[in-house]
Amino acid sequence: MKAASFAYHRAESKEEAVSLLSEHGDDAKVLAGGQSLIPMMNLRLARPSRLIDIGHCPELAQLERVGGTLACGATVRHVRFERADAPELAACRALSDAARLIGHAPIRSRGTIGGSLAHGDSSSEWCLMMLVLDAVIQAESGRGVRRIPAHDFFQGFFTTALAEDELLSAIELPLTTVGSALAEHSRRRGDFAIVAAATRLVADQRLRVTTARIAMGGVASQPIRMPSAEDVLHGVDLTDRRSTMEAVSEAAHMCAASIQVSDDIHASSQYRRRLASTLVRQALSRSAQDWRTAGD
Amino acid sequence: MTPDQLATKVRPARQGRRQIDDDRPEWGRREDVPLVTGQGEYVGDVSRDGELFLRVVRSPVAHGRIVSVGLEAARAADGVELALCATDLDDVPEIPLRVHNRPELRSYLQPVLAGSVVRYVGEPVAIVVGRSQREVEDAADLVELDIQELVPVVDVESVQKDPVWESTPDGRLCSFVARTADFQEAAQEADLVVTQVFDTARDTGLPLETRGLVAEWNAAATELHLWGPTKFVRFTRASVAEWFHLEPAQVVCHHVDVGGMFGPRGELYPEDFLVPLAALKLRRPVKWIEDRNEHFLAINHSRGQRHRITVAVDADGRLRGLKDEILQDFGAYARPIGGRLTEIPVEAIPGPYRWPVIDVTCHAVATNKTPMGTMRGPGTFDAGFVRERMMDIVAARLEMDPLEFRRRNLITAEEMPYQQDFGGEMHPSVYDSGDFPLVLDELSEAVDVQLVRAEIHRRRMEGELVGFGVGLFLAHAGLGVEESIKLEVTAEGRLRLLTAGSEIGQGLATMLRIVVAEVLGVPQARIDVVTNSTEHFDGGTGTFSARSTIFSGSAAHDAAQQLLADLRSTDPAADPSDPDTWRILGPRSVIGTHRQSSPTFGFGVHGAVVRIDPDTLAVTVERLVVAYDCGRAIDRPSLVGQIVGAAMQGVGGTFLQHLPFDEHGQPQSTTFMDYLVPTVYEAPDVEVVLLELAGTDSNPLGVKGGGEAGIMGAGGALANAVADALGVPDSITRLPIGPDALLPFVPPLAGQDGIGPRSCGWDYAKRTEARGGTLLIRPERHVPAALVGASAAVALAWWWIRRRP
Amino acid sequence: MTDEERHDGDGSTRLTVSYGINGKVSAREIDPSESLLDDLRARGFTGAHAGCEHGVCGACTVLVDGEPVRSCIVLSVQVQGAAVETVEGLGTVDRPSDLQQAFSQCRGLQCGFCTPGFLMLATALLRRDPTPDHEAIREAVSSNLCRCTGYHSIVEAIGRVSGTPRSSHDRG
Repeated sequence: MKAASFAYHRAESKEEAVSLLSEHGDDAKVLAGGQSLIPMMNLRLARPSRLIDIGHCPELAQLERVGGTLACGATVRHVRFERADAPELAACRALSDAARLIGHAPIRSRGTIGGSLAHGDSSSEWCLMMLVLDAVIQAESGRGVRRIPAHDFFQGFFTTALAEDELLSAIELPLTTVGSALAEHSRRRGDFAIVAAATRLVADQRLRVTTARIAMGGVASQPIRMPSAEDVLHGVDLTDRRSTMEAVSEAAHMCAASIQVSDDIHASSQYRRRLASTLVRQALSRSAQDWRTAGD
Repeated sequence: MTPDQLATKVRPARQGRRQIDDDRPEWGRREDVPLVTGQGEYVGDVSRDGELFLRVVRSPVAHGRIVSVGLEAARAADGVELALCATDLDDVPEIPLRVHNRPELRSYLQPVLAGSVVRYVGEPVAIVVGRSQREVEDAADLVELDIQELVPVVDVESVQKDPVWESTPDGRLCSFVARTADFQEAAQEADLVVTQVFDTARDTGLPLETRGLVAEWNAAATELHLWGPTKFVRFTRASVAEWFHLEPAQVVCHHVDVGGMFGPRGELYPEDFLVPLAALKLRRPVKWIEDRNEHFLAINHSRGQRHRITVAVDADGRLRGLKDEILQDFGAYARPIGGRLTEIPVEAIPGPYRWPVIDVTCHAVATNKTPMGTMRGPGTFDAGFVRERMMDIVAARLEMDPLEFRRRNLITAEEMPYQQDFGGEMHPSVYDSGDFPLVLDELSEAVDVQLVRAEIHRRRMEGELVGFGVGLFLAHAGLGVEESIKLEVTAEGRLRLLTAGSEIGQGLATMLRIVVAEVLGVPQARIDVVTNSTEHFDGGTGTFSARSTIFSGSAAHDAAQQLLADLRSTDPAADPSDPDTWRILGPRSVIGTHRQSSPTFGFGVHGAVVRIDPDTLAVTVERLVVAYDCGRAIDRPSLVGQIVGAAMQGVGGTFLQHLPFDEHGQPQSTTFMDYLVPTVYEAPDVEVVLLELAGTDSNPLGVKGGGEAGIMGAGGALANAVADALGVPDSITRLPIGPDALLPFVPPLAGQDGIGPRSCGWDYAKRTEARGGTLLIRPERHVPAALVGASAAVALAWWWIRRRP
Repeated sequence: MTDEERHDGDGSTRLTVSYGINGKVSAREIDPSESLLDDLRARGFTGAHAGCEHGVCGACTVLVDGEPVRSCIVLSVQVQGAAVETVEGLGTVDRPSDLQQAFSQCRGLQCGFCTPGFLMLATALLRRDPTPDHEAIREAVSSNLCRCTGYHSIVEAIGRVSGTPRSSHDRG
């Protein structure tokens, strides 16, 4: 089980990576951490004729505050989020929590956030988190930088909005992730989730929900938002546990009822629905609790 | 669990045994030293000068006629030295039978390369040999297969529209029948008759090292050197020798470390012909290392049984009779194990209980799937699951404590040796020794059943889904009739044991060292053991069926005794523990042997406590306890390691592992992302209670099998615990148990569609009532004819019980 | 410009990759499709094993710049200039490390095929946290598969080196 041969380009800078992509985009794949791409190449499910390695571009591995957002380079590895390995991540506990759920430590030590997003797996922790955080994904090419909102980014089965010549260079994230949570379930810890749910509640000073986000993985060909269930949570008073729980339950129920799932060797559609309900409820409860704790 | 903290029950007869420790206390086993320092020599580590790499091209379809195999592009590819298919061979040999219990299976042998028909996905169709692994994979992708597809047979009960074998339209390749008396009669006299259908999914032993082989011929092509593990070394050498018109002695098996055996590894496969063939044609060493993907398609599968079982019982819990119709998914071809896989479930289904009547049949049904072989606890694991589930189901109908129900029917120590008859067509089993009720008591004590049940009751009141279950098993071991081993005294006065048996991590070398040290009174440090090699001693049979301690251990015992007699006759006063004694005695060797024609039976019980997460339906094994009578433990840490490791494979087989196929016969589980092996998070801390009960005289060491015991009752115990946690005795009828198997029986989430919030609590009492908690035994003795063996038997049995006044 | 005229890492189909292995720099010309695992084995370090080659079983685990990675799903070209550590660097037959001995003493191996991977996981863990609790040890080894031992003895071997008390859940 050996990867097929390819021509190898090592980009030493972002500019070089962009220019290599302009030249070879039609038959090249970008190699970041390789934790999704290389297994697929070994299994010969992917046979790129060229690889452009962006793992040696220092500017793509940076995390920095730019204005009101956290700009996160494409090749920042999962392990840095897991360990909150930068002062900028201090207010982003939900990112650490989400990172910890990605595979196992040896995957997190190599895998990158940009690689996960460009791969676009339906149950990917980062894809779901980007949806609920309203992240903006920067796509850079010879034509300039395109800023793509996360909800426009995932377009189908392992398909994203990136054009062939575009490099996913950075992700713009909010400075704080308070009110965000991710819940997932797999048969064994560390496996791809059968179903995953990410949620985010934004509340005003009186802890009334002003924005709600719910994203689900493992229930469609790509990670998806659940707008109608989100609506249920608008205006909910998080200090009122009873009405919060009612809204959470209703939202969870709507999510489970609305997803279109089918059976596979890992789970039946009926079980997936049950998990969907359970996980959305778990994630939303944690989101709500996060505000209450923050408000204390 | 460390050896010193191991809960061990030792009968007085066994106490006071002298334990001679190795003089290197920093190591647990001497064999570990290379393995923990990266110096192991597995087949993938073997590298011969000028070696080439081989890739097998496998059928992508489950059933079809081969129209053509296009090799031109592959032959022209970079680095390729050879590409061939069946039509390029003058003679296409078949994989022979090793077990000849059903000679008719000779009609269903697998050619080493498919000629006109392919019968499963993964069947070898061609080979490509070249200078690098990547290049032969590239070239293999260029092979053009034109196959006209036929309708595949996937289910054992479906009509064979395009039969797997045209000569056998019903697909039944062989059968075993064990009928001691008329079951109908027994059933009519019984107070209760219960029928249920059970399935065990396909699984495999799954060693962590994939298969592999390196072959190299000498210049005159008179000697074939092989590097690769063997399970039945004598058979492998004889078969390979015959294929290439050699004597077995001309086939030399060199030492390799083995990354796990577990049944399927080391069997004879098509590659055992193809790799030496390529090496012969090219006169270069040829290396083949299977990848994990093809491993799932090509290594022997196992399990895959359907049981339609009926138990007749009296109101007081006395068993009256057992009927079981078993269908064994046989796969596409007969593999070397022959009809053994079809025979074992018949032998194993009665278990440790007294059955006045048995009526058991097993049919091997051909399917367009990977051929079947053994995996740890072949047939016994399946039969244990079915029988022990059935015991719980029947006990529930009788409203009897499941442990008490079993006790009433357990064969006692006084009845030993006990003969289980199988009617006129099969040999009886003779359970040579054992005290089954005692082992069950030991298990109950170790588990503390009363406390566990009280705790479970308390937790259920708090809304938890928890349950306890047991699984009893008989571990037959000691097959293969004979074994021999060579024991040498070297010029330096060291002792050296030579065996063609395989050290596969089970501790063969350590065990042999202990046996010889004990007989001779020589420190273990002065004894060397050479395993996995025919270079120095090419006698012996092999490594399978938990036979190593019984056979190789007893042969070593014999050799040591011969040597001691030799020493005594030379110098009666010599001190064997003095190294000089052996140096002075001088170089010599003896061949120790052991012969045993019938197996010995160990007995054990698994006890399990499980918890089901009511939200995610994840099952946690909170406790898994194994009580086992091993006769005697030679190397206790190794034996415990075997039991714990096997128990974990039982956890995997019960909850995670399976090899499903779709309706086109396409395997659905071909990576480690689909085939789930337990990780540390799924692993309970297995508790082992070892009993060393004297009694077997089948071998001089008084030992019983150890390698498979840990898995045999695991499926039954764990499944019973799950059913108990669900509060529905009939719930679990299939392995493995995934969340979907639990779904119909767990409290639904609120809301009409069952996906709202979960209702709190879980009323076990109510469920018992719903299942007929006020069960009375039916007064009139009449069994509806449709009941016994009916396809909807469960429903019928249920209806029958419910309709009583 | 044809591929042949390009220098290393510039569209090449052959290139020289050098990195440290257990403290010594090693250079080798490779095909860029070669995994770190295959490259290491070709350089004579056969302690890391190919169990699945799709990044699940962990038999190929080595350390790259101190972090455990699955060398079957890392390309050798990706570790250019990095520090790689393998089981061969932990200790030798004559001078084994405490960890290697503890695995043997606790029967933390049977067939030994997965063992180098577990030893590397344990090495990385104990460097970052010399006194991990039972749960931290379990988490650290949760990425790798062992088919023989049932894991408990592996956790115990690591705990023996770190002096970690057995968990209350243990029943021995």
